[in-house]
Amino acid sequence: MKYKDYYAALGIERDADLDQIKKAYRKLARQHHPDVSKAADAEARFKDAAEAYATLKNPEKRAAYDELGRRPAGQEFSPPPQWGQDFGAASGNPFEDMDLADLLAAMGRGQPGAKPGPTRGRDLETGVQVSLEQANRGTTLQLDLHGEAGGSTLEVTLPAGVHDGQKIRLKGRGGKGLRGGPDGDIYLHIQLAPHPLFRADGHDLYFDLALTPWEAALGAEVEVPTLEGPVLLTVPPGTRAARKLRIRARGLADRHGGRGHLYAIVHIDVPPTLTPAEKELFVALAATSNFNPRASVSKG
Amino acid sequence: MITQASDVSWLVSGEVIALTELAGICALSPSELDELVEYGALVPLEPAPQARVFSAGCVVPLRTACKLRVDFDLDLFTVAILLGYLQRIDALEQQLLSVAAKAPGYAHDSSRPGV
Repeated sequence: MKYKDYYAALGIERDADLDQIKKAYRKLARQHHPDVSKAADAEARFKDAAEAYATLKNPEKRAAYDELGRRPAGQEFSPPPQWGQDFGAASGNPFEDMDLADLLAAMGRGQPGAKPGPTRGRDLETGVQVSLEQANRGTTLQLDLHGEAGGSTLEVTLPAGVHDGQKIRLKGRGGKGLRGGPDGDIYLHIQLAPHPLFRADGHDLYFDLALTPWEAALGAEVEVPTLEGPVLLTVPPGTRAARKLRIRARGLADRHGGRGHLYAIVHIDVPPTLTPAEKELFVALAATSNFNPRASVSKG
Repeated sequence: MITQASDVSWLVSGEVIALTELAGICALSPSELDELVEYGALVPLEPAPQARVFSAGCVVPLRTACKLRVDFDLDLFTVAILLGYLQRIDALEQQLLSVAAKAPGYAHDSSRPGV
């Protein structure tokens, strides 16, 4: 078993009181917590500080740790023989497969004569990116899991109906429980991959529909894309920019067998350059029409 | 190892989770969960103490709050306050996604063509 210098890990003296221990830990936790720090070694430094704090904040564990004496960090050592009896070992090495943190955790539970009790397996959290098409029809994902026992692959059948930001729990598929404890879970955070045409809001989909000025003014039937292929959309006469035209039940499937809607957001485009004939028509229109889209603004 | 669709639990507001299960996956005791209910940080769907059930939508923010509790050595009342803020952040993120989806594409990327 390797010795760890918990006082050095927190940067405190060996006679530090509980307040000093807590302050030192909180300062390091704030500095190295993986949610805060982007440094490559942040997680490892945070874990070291947390392990040291878990022992030093508990008087029982701290006393047991101090009993080990001062040693260089990383030095191999054997716990006092008396500790083996406390663990109920008649013979053999009761500390096999334990590290210092496990050992002190068991001490802190005040269970001399008993080995550590059942421990729930570790939960695993991972983000997965799926395409709109996969979210719509369901899909099978291969998850690469990295646990203490090595890597493994988990095949997950994701039913149709997930949406962006959805959280899913795979019960009992996380780390193995120890000493009869329950297995942990896997939490999947679903992210929809960007799509070249559609944007998702829940199970509704949105896309931009470019119209010519005459299609918007006169109305038209235009071909628009859906996840299952193109359909014809009726654009009513007098359609203004930013109007949303709904195509019913052409969004993403939900988990109850329904579907969201597909919305076309209108924007009106003009030719970048006009032919002489087009220009003539626009000039005639400008001369004829008394439509003023800024009427409400110019009144002020 | 293969999971089936039936192994999947949807952590959404329409699904229900019992007090004991919620306590187990958040590393809280049932009495600590009751305390969070007393603080108003968690609202059970079934308020009777002997049959308390919660919306599964609270699982992720509650697990996050409980993880931060351990990481920063916070007390339970702080967890109650934290939970409120985490739920608010989650709601705002959803709102942001919704607004971004409805905004015209050229607001996101001027090179992206319309249909």
